[in-house]
Amino acid sequence: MEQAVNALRTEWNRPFLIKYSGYAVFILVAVYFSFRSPSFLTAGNWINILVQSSVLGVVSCGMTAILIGGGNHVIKGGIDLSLANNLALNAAISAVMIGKGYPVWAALGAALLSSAAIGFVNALAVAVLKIIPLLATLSMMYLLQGVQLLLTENKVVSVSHPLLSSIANDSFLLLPIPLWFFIAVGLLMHLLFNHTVFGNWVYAVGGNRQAAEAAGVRVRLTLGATYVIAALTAAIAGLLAAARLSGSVPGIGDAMLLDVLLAGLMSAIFSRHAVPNMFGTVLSSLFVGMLSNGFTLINVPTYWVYAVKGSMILAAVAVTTTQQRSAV
Amino acid sequence: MSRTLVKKRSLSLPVRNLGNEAGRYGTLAVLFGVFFLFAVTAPSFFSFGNLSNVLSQSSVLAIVAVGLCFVVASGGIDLSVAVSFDIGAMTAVLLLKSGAGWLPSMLIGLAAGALVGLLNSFLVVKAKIAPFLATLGTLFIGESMEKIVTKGGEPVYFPGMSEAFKWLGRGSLFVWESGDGTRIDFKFSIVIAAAVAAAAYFLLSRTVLGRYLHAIGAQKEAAALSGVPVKRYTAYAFVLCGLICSLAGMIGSSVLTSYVPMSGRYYLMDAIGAVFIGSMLHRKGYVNVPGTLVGVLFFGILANGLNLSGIHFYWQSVVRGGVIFAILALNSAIANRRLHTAKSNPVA
Repeated sequence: MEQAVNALRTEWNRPFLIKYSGYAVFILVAVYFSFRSPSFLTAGNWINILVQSSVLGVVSCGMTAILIGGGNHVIKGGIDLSLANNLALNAAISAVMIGKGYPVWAALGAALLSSAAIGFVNALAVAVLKIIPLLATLSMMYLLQGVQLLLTENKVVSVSHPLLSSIANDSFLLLPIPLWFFIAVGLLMHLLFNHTVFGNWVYAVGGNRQAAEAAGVRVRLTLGATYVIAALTAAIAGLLAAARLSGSVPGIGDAMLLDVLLAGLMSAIFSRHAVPNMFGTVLSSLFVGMLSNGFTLINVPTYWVYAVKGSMILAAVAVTTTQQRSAV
Repeated sequence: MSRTLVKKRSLSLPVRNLGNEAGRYGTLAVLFGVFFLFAVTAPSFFSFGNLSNVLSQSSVLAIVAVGLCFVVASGGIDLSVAVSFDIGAMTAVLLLKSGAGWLPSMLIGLAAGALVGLLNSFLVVKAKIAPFLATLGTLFIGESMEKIVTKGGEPVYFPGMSEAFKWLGRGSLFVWESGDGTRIDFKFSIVIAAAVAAAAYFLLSRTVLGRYLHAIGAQKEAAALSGVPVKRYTAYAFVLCGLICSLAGMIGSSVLTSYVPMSGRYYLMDAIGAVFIGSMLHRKGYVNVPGTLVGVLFFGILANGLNLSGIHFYWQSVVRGGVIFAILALNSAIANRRLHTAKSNPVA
């Protein structure tokens, strides 16, 4: 392993290919779509894709925070299965409370508080009680599904509130509001994880927990913070989802679970060292959004979309992984 | 670089002591506590008739979870158990509907499940994609194929399926009725689940296959250095898992006398939960079949008992999450305290 690291450091065999093969796949797919459909490569459509990806993109940044801090061990590594249901519960709380006539600040505040509390409990379970994340967040996921059922009685809760509809429909400086949220969260998370001491700590904890502890990193605090940060991104994404769906729809949590996981894990293909990262997460969410959009434009039946999406993503990951391995 | 560091971490932390003696008994105590609570609050719960119901309702989940044991033991994860489950059921039901006999339908169904496992092992072993991502991809592709075959996800009803196939899920080994209305219906599917579990137990704890899989799961590099054919055995784990899950799918479709697309997802999370609860019950935190069965029964008992106690359906998921969380917290609190005392008192 030591040799491998040295080899990676000293001989950059095919640095260009390795660094950019993830991007290459992205661009090739985009080029294919623009040949097949004239309306694909228009500013309007791209803003569409960006807006459609914004909910997924925001919450996936949170998932990536946990993946970075937890390390990439399949079973004991960092993961949050409750994140998507946290988002859904957040949307449900604000929709139900606004529907019952509470002031909008109270509804959104309660939703935010509940999301943060969920994140805090997850942090406690993983960092203090040392329960493996997969299990701790799985039980949290069941719990949140149940609370959602209790709240919404498994029905669509539609609300119309000027604030929600303005988030969904208005633009600021030519760009729709959800997109601004996406940009802000992506940028903040990128800065936080790549340009601050805290970010270094998270990467250190994910890389080698004992070494980090020996070096004086406050491991439990750092690890716990990633779960709380993730819960906050889920809260923001929940607000966006409530605005875009004008209320809450049962089952969005379960539907988004795997997409969130996918965007977080796939972020590694946009990285030289195959580690999850924020910029890659934004690109992966866009990739997923672009595939859905492109296939709709070229009239692929909806039930084909997931198959093609799945194989495209596997192909992208496989190509990048082999590139990275062959360099090592 | 981080990748290498992570590997090192897992080397220095071979298998974290997820459960030790005290923690294990704590977990079992919670399970029995739940059991007694139901026995007291719901009078009809603690009867042979109802308990045999719990067993037959749990048999499908048991088979899926036992299949998953192989992959998790080898340090991987398989999210596509849902697809193996569905593809097995789909192949068998469609073949039966086209007039094939029950035996060839079942064999081809099993082969289809094994094929899903083969695809996974290709992705994990050859393409070197992380198991989480690889099996997630298989899940997406597989569910999409189900929708394509069923023209958007409509169930395929076939009440006229062959009696032998129906017997898989609906047949009873014996039915015993007493005068006062007690009815014990011992389903054949319980026997299948028990046989699969016994075979898996034997394979995982008494054969080279099991020892190799545990070795790969504990320390992949060490296993490779000591001559374990890591790639081949990882592939075996995925194929076995796919094969076993497709059997579960066929039993499920036999119970419903129809194939319902995407019904496998229903078992996915519960199966993962059961396998991990099972590993908590093991002295060294290893994945093991008896513990997994306890986990499965726990889910079965919880669902059944909550129904009988008249608790609203919506509350069930809340209670389920809460109880699992309590078990985990209790287990780790005890484990952490013991670790602490062991540190402060080196003689002990």
